[in-house]
Amino acid sequence: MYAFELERPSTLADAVAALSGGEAQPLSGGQTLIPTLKQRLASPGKLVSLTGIKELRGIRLDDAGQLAVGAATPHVQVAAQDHYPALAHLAANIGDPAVRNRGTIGGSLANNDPSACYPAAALGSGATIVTNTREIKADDYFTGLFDTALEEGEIITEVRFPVPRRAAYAKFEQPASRFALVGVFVAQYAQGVRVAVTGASEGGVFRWAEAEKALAADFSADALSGLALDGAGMIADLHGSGAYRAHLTGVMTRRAVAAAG
Amino acid sequence: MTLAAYVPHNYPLDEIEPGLEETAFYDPSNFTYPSGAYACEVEVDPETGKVTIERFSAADDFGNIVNPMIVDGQVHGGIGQGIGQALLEHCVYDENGQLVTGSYMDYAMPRADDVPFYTVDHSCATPCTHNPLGVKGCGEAGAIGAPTTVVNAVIDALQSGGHKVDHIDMPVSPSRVWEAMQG
Ligand SMILES: Cc1cc2nc3c(=O)[nH]c(=O)nc-3n(C[C@H](O)[C@H](O)[C@H](O)COP(=O)(O)OP(=O)(O)OC[C@H]3O[C@@H](n4cnc5c(N)ncnc54)[C@H](O)[C@@H]3O)c2cc1C
Repeated sequence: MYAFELERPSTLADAVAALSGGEAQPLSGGQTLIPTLKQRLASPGKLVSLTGIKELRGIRLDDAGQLAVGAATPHVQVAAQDHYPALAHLAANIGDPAVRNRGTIGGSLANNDPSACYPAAALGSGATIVTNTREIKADDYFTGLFDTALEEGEIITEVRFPVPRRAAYAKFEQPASRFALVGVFVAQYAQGVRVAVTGASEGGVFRWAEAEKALAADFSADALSGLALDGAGMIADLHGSGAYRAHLTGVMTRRAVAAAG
Repeated sequence: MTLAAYVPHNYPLDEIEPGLEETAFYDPSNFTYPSGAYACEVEVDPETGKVTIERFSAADDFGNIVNPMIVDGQVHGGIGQGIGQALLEHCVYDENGQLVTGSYMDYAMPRADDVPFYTVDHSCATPCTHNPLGVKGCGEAGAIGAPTTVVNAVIDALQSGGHKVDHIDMPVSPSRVWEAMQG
């Protein structure tokens, strides 16, 4: 690890100011960033800790009835809320207790790991990513592997999830990391069904349009029979080929629909 | 005597050197020949290829056993190591010789929920005839017996599910089992 300065602001305004100087990077739960620093893969001059900022922590229902989760809220608290059970279940199965006590939703969405779970929930719920300067629709937010619509110095402050009629997340774990080899989030709303897939595509999290259409007409695992993705553009690594991930996407989508009831 | 040898404050140090050393070499007239039989029951998820070990039993004849708890523990650990080898652990290098399983994010070690509760049985204890204690080696038994047992069980499960598979390279990961099921 290289030397860096650490700031611990207690307001969002102070954090934004501290981050404006360049060379500075936000630090949330540190579950991704600290290992990166330990391996000397990054050398920010300054880290600005977000976890001491009260307005970034906690969970509430907003005026529109959406579940609003503060960016610095750790996974363990999302797992404990009961407004959105599918989201709670997803959070409860991220990493291990230490990771869930430190890791945060804002850190996960800013990092946009292609195998992470929260991107599937955000895209699958049509969530809104709120930052210190604007609101970004999930459909516009995820722009590729480890890539997002966030600008330099922009901080996620809150994530707002419309609460669906029913939803579920089905995750097939990569045997070593237990991140998603393939994870599928399915949610049914009055306006339609959303299906978001993580872990599988070289382009990062994506919506499976054919499955959404089939499920909008008939929300049942059977409605998906005959639908299949092929391996083109899917991640291939030592844990599985593109064809395997394409196949698992179908299996996990059916399981998510069955679990959503 | 040992204490006296190593606490030499009142020795005539010019006459006696402190310490006590002796080397002996035991040349056994023969090796020991432990033997055992291992069985396990697995379930294979036909849609994903994921293997779950439902039950695992190990019966070993280690001759006379001096400390049963240590022997049970040794076998438990060995089976865990063997299950890791059978299902999970793998060193992979890319074409440039770079190790791609250099961290636990990609190198899969067995964890508590990868292994079942084991039944171990050491009631058959035929004393070894060519050492005075009548004991046999037990150190590696679990790690030797488990990989074959697990992989054979997976092959048996696939065959009973109608798949013509008689070999899968270790580790028998979900993706390899799925590939094998595709024929
Ligand atoms: C052993 C282990 C297992 C894991 N398993 C899983 C799993 O199964 N599924 C899964 O989804 N994840 C998993 N994770 C990742 C975990 O969810 C992390 O918490 C998450 O990736 C990062 O969140 P963090 O709060 O720790 O962010 P940090 O590490 O603090 O930050 C990550 C990045 O986001 C930036 N950042 C942080 N907060 C903000 C913000 N509010 N606005 C803008 N940028 C910000 C930082 O600058 C940094 O670049 C695992 C991690 C570990 C160590």
